[in-house]
Amino acid sequence: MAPQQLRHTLRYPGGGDNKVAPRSSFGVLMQASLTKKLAVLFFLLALAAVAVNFKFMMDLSPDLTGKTGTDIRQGLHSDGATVSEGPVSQYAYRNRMAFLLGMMVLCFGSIIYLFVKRVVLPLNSVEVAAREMSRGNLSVALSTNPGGEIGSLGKAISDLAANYQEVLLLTGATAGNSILAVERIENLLGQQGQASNEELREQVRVIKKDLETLSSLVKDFEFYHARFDGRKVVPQMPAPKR
Amino acid sequence: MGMRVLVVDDSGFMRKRIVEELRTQGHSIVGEARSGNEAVQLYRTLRPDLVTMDITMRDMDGLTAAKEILAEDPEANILFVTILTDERYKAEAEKLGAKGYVNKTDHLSISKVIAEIGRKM
Repeated sequence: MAPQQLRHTLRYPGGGDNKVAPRSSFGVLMQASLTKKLAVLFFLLALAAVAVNFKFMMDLSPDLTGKTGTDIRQGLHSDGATVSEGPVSQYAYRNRMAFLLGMMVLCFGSIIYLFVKRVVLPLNSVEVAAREMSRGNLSVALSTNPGGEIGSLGKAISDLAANYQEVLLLTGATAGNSILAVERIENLLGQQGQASNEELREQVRVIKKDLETLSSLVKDFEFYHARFDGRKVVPQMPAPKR
Repeated sequence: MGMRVLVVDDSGFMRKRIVEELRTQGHSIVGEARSGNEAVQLYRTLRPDLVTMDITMRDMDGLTAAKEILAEDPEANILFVTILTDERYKAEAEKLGAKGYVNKTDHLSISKVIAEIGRKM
């Protein structure tokens, strides 16, 4: 099956897919791909970290005016007096560092959690399903819950399995019809003299029609390096590179 | 008379075959659905003259979808096009009020039944 056929979308007048159009910016975000969601989340968390850092720097700046870095680190004024209170004490400095660290942990933790939940686990289930299908088990169900790229991949594999199943079942059913017709012919021939030519011709017509259906099914597929012309396989090698 | 048809089948390959067959007969395809749920939703939007309905679909099977469509619109024309030759399914389809039940391998019957439905409309 050609990839173009797998991308067959479900359209109706008015254009677009069957997907319901999102109505709000939150809806737009929820409909966006996983990559976009992760990017938005990372951007917001990074923006928050930058904002906190900026505030921290603004709070520190009055202390820096007219004082040396050593004074600030030691918590002393240039005249030797101990700093008891001020815009930024060492205690507050530690708190802010801890807060920034917490933000970083939250940021990376969220990303890792989302990555595992939305990428690793769904990809794992897709891999397991694809493996089962390659062994001939087409009954395995693929969850289409995850949106974005993983969901699209799962749907594409499900479509492939549906097509594979359809063709196999049609092939089997058509072959079954032909076998029945052949068995009837055998019975008619066994009853020598009783079978009319017309009955035999009818059974031959059934076999011919079924075989033509089988042939047309195979002809509808697109293969690499070959094509089926309805009777035989015709090689269709790519042109040699010059 | 050309009809507005909604084609329902979970296999894109089979939808393509049915669509091509119907187009050669002069019908227009107004929509395609890959599951019973999509079929019910599209039926509400499109109100087609005819629905060709597969039975074996993962999300919602064709019989359930037909039941929902016929509950909303008892005049709906539903033709089951399936690989299942079991008489029980055929009887169930007739009981629901479907306009026909044909085997996917039998293209001549599909064309014949669709033409018959078109004539009755």
